[in-house]
Amino acid sequence: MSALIEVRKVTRIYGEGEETTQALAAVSLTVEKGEFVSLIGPSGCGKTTLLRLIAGLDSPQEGSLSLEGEQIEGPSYDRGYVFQQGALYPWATVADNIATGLKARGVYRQQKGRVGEFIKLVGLTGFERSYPHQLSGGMAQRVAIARALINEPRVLLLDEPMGALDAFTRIELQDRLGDLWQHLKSTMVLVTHDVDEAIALSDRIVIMTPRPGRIAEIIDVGLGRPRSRSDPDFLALRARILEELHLAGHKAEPEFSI
Amino acid sequence: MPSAKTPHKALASPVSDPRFWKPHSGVWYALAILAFLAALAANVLIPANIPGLLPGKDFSSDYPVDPTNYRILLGAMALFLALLWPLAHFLPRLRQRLFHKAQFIFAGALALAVWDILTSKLFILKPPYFPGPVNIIAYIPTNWENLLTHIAASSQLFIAGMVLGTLAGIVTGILIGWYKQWFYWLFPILKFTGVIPATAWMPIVTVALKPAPVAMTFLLVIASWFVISFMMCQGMQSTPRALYEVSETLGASRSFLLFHVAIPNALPSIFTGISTATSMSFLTLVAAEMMGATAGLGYFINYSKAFNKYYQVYAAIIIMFLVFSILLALIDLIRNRALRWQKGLVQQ
Ligand SMILES: Nc1ncnc2c1ncn2[C@@H]1O[C@H](COP(=O)(O)OP(=O)(O)O)[C@@H](O)[C@H]1O
Ligand SMILES: [Mg+2]
Repeated sequence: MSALIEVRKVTRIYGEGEETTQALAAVSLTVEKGEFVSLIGPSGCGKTTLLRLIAGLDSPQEGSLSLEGEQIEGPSYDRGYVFQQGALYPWATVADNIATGLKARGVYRQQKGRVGEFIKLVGLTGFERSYPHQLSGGMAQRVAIARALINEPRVLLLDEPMGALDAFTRIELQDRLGDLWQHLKSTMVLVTHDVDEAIALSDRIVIMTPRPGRIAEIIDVGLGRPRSRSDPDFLALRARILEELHLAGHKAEPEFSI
Repeated sequence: MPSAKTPHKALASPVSDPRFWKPHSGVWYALAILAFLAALAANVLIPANIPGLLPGKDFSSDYPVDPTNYRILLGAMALFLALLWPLAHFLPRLRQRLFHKAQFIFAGALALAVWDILTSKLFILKPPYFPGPVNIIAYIPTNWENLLTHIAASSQLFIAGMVLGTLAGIVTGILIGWYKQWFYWLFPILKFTGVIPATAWMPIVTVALKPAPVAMTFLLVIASWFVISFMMCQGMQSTPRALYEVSETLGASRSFLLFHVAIPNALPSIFTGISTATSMSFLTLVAAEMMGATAGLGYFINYSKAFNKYYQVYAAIIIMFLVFSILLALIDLIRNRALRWQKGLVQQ
């Protein structure tokens, strides 16, 4: 394993003058190739900010980020991104949405066949010609994931992709995401507020605290796969992380309020 | 429409149909057919009670009074509706639609009868200002060729103006919506000129541009250009940021963002713009033709009025209504096809 993403002492401050928010304060993180890393923490602790910095959709005031030693300077198809609400093109069918990356890179004609492959991979065969408004939330997120994966990104960044789904669909999609990760041997960074989701999927879990956004602790999950949610080790880890989050939440409130 | 989990599947028929909510029985439909027959009977049976009106004095001597066309029309309507009925029996969608519209058709037939009786029978509404349906419908076929040349003249101007205006509107809309410099310089001008009715420019345009058809076309271009570019620009600027961002993470270049994200996102607005522009162009066309043209339906109305031939004015209005309705239906058809991805726009 080698370092794929390196985040070095990154600081991101929003706003000007009195009204500033320190979304990230000197945050450092390394993600290995092939790793599944989750970012977890209370709302406002800078998870999305960190993910957007890695994607190149935003840039830090201090510190630097690199992908395989190369400085990250803007968005690129080697870092796929899945938004909270899917952000599908409403005017494009499922197939056209998924084909977008190929078209944008000008390789659609040569690689047309892969669209069907990825539709199958996320279990949407038969829905090729459906429009986003005809899809359920879970299906829409699967389209968003396939759309990002068709470019074979070096890392897939996911910002609470299951946040808006019902419990049943969420678990189904979590399993599917885990399968995709193993099958494609890709690297994934997932933002979540669901502890079970983080434990079920991750190699490492990054716990963050707000005001200012920092990394409180990084936990090695170290459980075998596939993981059972009723396994005693799973439950013990769950209790530990919840405790950690609870402490983080309390510690942050009085001391750093602006 | 609620989001269907399976695509391309018709909705099961709901308990109460929100679209065809009128009575589902055929009673009103039968009454509508009877109403057309009654209107026909009224025209045939009720004698005309002319209260001392003189042809040539109270109305022109060529005033068309032959009721044949009117009677054929009423009979044809009754027959048409009656023939549709057995067909509708096999086509449930058609039946629902027909039965839903039945009350309106019924009222329409009655209105025709009342209009006919008030004009041609009782002369409570008198010629030349208030011709009856008989007079208008008697006139149209006798002068069809003349009318066609006016329709053609209007259509030519309208199509030229709309096509040029739409193209210009889309191009400027894209420039303004995409490039800051263009927005800075053009948008305020657009906003200002957009509120001025195109006809206000007429005195200037007719002097500045010759010959007259060029001036008229230019007026129509003005009428559609601003609305369409405004809507195009707005549609592009309403693109959610997330769509641009996700496209960039998929490898999109600037031009890909423009042509595959911003412009598709503006499509619904463009169609709103085109619909508005169509109405405004039509308004401008008729007004301009009435003020200074030698052909076209607007000119024809003005000219008919000068000779007190109001039945011609009504005929022109009816023709305008028909042509414009077809045009709007056509635009709707294209729109529904182009925007079939929009929620709730399926089948309207
Ligand atoms: N574009 C922005 N402008 C101003 N403040 C922002 C912006 N984005 C995020 N913030 C602030 O930065 C902090 C971290 O936000 P975010 O990264 O979205 O947190 P999380 O995803 O963990 O909920 C929050 O306090 C938020 O209000
Ligand atoms: Mg967030």
